[in-house]
Amino acid sequence: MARYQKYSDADFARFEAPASAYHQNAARKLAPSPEQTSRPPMRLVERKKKTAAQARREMKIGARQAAKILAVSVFLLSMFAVLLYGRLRVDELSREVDAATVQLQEAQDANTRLNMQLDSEFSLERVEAYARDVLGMTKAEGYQIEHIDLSGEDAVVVSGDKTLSESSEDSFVGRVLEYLKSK
Amino acid sequence: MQTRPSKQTAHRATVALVLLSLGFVYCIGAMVNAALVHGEENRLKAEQNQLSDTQIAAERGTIYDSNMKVLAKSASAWLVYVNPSQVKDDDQKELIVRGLVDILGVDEEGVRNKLSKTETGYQKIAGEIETDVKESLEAYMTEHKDAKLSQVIGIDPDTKRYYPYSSFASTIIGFTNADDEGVGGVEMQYNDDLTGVSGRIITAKNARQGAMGSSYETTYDAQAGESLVLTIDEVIQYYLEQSLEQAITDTGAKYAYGIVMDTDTGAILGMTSKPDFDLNNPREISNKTKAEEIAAMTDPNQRATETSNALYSQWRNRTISDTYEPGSVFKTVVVSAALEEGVVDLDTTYTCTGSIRVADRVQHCWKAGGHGTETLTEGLMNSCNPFFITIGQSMGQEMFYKYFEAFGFTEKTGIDLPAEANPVAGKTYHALEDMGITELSSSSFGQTFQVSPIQMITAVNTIANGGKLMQPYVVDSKLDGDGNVVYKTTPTVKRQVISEKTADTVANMMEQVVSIGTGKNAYVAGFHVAGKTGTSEKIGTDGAYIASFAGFAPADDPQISILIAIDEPVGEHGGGAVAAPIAGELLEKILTYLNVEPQYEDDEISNISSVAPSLVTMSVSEAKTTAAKFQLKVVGNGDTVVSQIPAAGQQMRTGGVIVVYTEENTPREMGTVPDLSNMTMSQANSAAVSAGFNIRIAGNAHSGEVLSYKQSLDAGSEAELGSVITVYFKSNVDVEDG
Repeated sequence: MARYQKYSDADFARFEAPASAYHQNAARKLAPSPEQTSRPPMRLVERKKKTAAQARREMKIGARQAAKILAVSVFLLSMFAVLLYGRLRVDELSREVDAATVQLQEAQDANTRLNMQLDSEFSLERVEAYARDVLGMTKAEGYQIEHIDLSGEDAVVVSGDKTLSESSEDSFVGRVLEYLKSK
Repeated sequence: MQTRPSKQTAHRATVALVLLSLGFVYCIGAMVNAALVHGEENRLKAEQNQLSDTQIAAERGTIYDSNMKVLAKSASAWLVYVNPSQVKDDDQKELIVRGLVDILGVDEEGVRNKLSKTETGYQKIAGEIETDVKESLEAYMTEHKDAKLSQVIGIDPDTKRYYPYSSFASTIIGFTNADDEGVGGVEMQYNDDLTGVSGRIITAKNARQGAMGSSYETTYDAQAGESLVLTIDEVIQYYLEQSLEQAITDTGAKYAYGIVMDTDTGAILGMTSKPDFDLNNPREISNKTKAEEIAAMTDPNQRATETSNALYSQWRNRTISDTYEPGSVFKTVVVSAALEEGVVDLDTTYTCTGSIRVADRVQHCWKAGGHGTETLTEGLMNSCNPFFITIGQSMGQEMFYKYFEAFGFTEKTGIDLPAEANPVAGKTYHALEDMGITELSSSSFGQTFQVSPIQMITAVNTIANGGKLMQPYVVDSKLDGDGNVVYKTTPTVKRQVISEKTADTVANMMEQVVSIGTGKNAYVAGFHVAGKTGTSEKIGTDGAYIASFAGFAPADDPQISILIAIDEPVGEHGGGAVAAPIAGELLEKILTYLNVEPQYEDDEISNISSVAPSLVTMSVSEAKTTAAKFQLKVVGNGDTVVSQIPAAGQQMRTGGVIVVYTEENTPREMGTVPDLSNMTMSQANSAAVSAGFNIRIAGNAHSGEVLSYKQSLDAGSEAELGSVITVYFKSNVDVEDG
């Protein structure tokens, strides 16, 4: 209460322009005083009463408007959620790709290492020593090599007792039949 | 109504304006200083603070042989280091030592020494650690989690270079150092191509210096190095290395080196310098005796020096870095030049009395009594020194030097390998202006100057290749990371040194050298081999020789050129006795591998004699009739032959043993292989047949005075009766040369 009292005690008039000074101002003398300015009289318009149909229609419009806003909001939220989820998936997949890349690299390194071990086990020196000392093999000699004459044209050998009919092979119909069979 | 500011206000405003202006100028100056004067430096500092830059090592290219067999390949590995400044106490130190020694197999004393350097923060323990070993170490660190070993032991990415065939082609391939840079061989020559371009991962850092996630990350992929496809053929290289290793064992030589070249292109198919080293442990001395000698040295300085010398010696590719006096092999060059210039022709004769006077000195022929009157071809076959001194003198210094230069002896061959010996006029060979009659005469039979083995084979290959001097090379093509060919070496003809006609003439003469001359131990039945032997005394080492053979085959359509040099053989040291048999054996293997069909002459067919007939499914009586000219030994009580040894079609001599089995599952008849060395062909055959075996003749089989020196089955070993033993023969008569 004391606080209110204090305010009420305050002399706000000190911050207002003194009436005498206001009236002494030359500029004020030229301009009409606020009291002298005539204002147009306020017109009171009576609000029309809404009909029930109007009210319902407005309510409907309002509801539709609200639904639209809600739908847009939901849409925007969904978009945001999708974006967020997408971002999370991208991050997750990036991590998976990184991990898979590392695994691939490790697998490739292991593959290289094992291949090198395999190659060293199968060096010509080792293969020859194994073949000679363990398997008792000797190197292939000339008599073991059979030369095949490939200088002639390619030939087809029909196995068994099958024969090719010369007429069917040469005739147009025969060729068509052969073509269809081959398909 | 406007009023002027008071003087005091104006003064204050002026001061404020000046201060503001100064501040503004200072700011502009600071900006200029930061952006322009120290712009680059500040940019780097900012990047360091804001960005994390991780280097991705580029995978070093692979090295393949000509059949696309991998000779060298890189893979990721790990490097283990310690931070000695973080060692807490002795218990922790002991755990670290135990773990590193047991898992990595490193030297305990070395680890303790490194851990004692507590003022340092990084001491490498071992590199090229494979993933399984690294995982064992990580498991050990996890097991002793309380000891906080991870604060001291660190693991960094590293790369490891694998050489699957250890010492195979080691002097050609070379190896890499700890920084993955090539040291020697193609690894060094093509280091820039093999290395590739490192990649980078640039990541933005937050205020706490942590990574800001993948969206703030930019990756520049590493560009893998190019792979190299060598001209080296794995099989030819293997034959070459096998032969030279055997040569060192047989002759007690200090070194042996050899080159096999593709005649038409100059591509190197095989090249080796023995003894060599294990590419996976290049810093280990391969010569066990030398390593023991060094280990026994007490003076650390001497030990370090000797170790260094031994390593450089084993890394040295002597076929391109060493020089030697070519000796009589060089006579092929002299005779080519003389024929080309018309100084001599095939009808030219010379009478060798065993010596010739050159200025105030008498030069002796290697044959004391002389060769008598001989034609040009006979002069080359006999490797007659006085004849070639005379030819050289007839040519004169200028003509001699012209061909010496044209055959490529005054320049490097340009082979794509590092450390090729550089010929120096006045030092390694006689400059034209310094060449007197004495120098000309001695040079005419291959003495008093030096060439590298690669120069010599390139010159001999010129004769094989119709007079065209080729530039030798070892890299056939370069492949990118996807295996596409990005570069293919085109064979380079440096010049036409002699005409094709002269080259053919000399090739025929060289074939005679191998057929009935000093090179007859390089003779291979069915293949026409051309060549020339050489024996040269090593300068500065008394009683030390280099025995060599250079040639090509088949003489009528050369496909490969070959040079074999045996450095400091013990005992026999002539090129015809020491190097020619090795060349002959090697040529037979290589030509067979290259599917060059043998074409036997009548006298050669008589040595091949017979082939084993097919007796399987025959009755015993039929088999006896069919194999009437052989000794048939029947094993079992059956009536029909179910198997035989030797197999049908195998070469054997008439009168040889054929063992036939008449029952399945009969135990094989075994016998002890006899010692067939130092025998004539008939003696060896008799000894083999008596013991129940057969022989196949290899090597020099057409000279009457040949003796056996090697057999395919070891004497004293057990083998199936009827087996064919390949026996190698060589002649020790008239195979000496100058």
